[in-house]
Amino acid sequence: MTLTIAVPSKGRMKEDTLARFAAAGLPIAPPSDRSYQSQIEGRNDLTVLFLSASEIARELARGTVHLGVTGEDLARESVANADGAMDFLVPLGFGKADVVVAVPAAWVDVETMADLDDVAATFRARTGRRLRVATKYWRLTQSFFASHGVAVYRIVESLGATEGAPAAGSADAIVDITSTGSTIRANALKILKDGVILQSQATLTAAKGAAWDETRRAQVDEVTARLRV
Amino acid sequence: MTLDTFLTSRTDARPSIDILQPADPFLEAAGESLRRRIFITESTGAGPLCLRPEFTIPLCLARKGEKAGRFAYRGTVFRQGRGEFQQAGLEDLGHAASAERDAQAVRDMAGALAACGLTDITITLGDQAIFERVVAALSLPDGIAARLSRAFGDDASVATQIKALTKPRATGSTEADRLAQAGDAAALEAHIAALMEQAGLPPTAGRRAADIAARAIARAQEAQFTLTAQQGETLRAFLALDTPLSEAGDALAQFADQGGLALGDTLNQFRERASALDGLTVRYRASFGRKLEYYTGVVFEAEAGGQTVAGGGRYDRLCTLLGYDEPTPAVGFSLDLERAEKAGGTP
Repeated sequence: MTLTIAVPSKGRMKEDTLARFAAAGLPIAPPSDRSYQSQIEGRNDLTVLFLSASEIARELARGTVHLGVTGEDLARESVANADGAMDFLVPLGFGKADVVVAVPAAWVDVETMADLDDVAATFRARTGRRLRVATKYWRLTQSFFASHGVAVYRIVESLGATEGAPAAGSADAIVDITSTGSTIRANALKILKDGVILQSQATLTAAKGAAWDETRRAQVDEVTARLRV
Repeated sequence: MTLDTFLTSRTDARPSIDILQPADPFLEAAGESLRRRIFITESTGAGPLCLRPEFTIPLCLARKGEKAGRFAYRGTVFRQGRGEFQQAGLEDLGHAASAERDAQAVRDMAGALAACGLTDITITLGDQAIFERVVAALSLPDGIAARLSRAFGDDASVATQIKALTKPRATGSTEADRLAQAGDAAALEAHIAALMEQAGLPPTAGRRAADIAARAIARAQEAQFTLTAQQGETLRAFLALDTPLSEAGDALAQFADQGGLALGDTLNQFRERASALDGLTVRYRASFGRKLEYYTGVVFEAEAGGQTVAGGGRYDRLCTLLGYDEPTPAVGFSLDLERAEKAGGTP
């Protein structure tokens, strides 16, 4: 009975994951050439799959892997009902990033989502178009704005350099990730006081829809206990 | 009489409405939050398309630039979470708003349900215009009045706002806040213009420095405003009104007297509409509204077998949002035929 754990296949997230698992006494054996499959060293019962970050979220939602290391932002953005499909078990302390709502610092009258709602409500009458929000986080933006009663705005899809959108004139406000806020400030934007949508980090996550039995539950308990320390 | 004969007898035409619709008008009119409730798809040509989520918006688009009239529709609509189901309805487009036009729409909704065999229905009616008039009569600052009006229909949000208004709100201590509190529009505008220039913000796209300064000053004044205990009580008493429509005019008049509010013409029109609905059992619930920007006056819905089977209202702002050149008053309703059938009807 093996348990499948999906981990990031490249970049900083991969390095941090390998280091974290090793420190927890769960060293991941290097995969043999051109293979994306490996295991925890000396543990035939703990299979490790190297997948891209977006694949990890998707496979967790499908239940084709039992565990995965994924950014909570990515999981919540790419899966419709993330809490119904997965359990966010152990925050791993790296890959930290906040998903935030930011507006131009020159908007001295906008500090909160309620202010943004006011501005959005009269935006069309003043400018002939709706307030535009640049983001790649469609789902997170829609549900956060809806929870603050903000309805009339348009999302402009942005796949890079989102924080430059207001200066480029392609959007009025943004929803983006930031770890220190320095890029936001460098672009003369400011985060709204109640505009933190999600404090995200790499998280060991379990797929509710995977094939579970007693052995695998015990394996998960062991892995989470080691990583939690 | 069948539903179809009823609708035909009450309308001038039945415009044909495609199932596949451009998504933009829906998102533009109802807001981005609609996106998760509809089936949307990319097209290789111009903009995203969606499966028709309702008929009112495409019908208004189809009649743009045409004569006023009353129009019927019936067909499948598509919504996330529900899949596909049948709707039918009627829109009265381009006739000057009047108590009689409003009442006609409510009577036709009841008639359409009766044509489906549903006569044991409960009709609830609300009125955005009365609420706005009450708020106006309390002489609240414009921004606060506008925010309350936008929240109308969402009881929790209105209650939260009323509560928050009972004490002054905190204000900031930046240079801009100081200028806003002093009401120094010229200096504030210059300060904002400098911030915009530093940021490389296009000075004419979107919000201008003068707009931002004006709102900042209004906001600083509003932060000082507090609702008196009596004003708060008046608003709560109004929202709690729930009475047969035949008695609602008197109840509103009595409420206005007690609060010392002048509801004037708005109340007269309300009374006129109520008498035009004589003979129909309708309940007036003062807090009943729809949180959609384009609804402007009366809203109503019908319940049967514990489910909402039909709803409608006056939406005088919709056609303008859809790009009509002339203000185009409109009132209408729609029937949820799937629920009507579940409630025992035969649509």
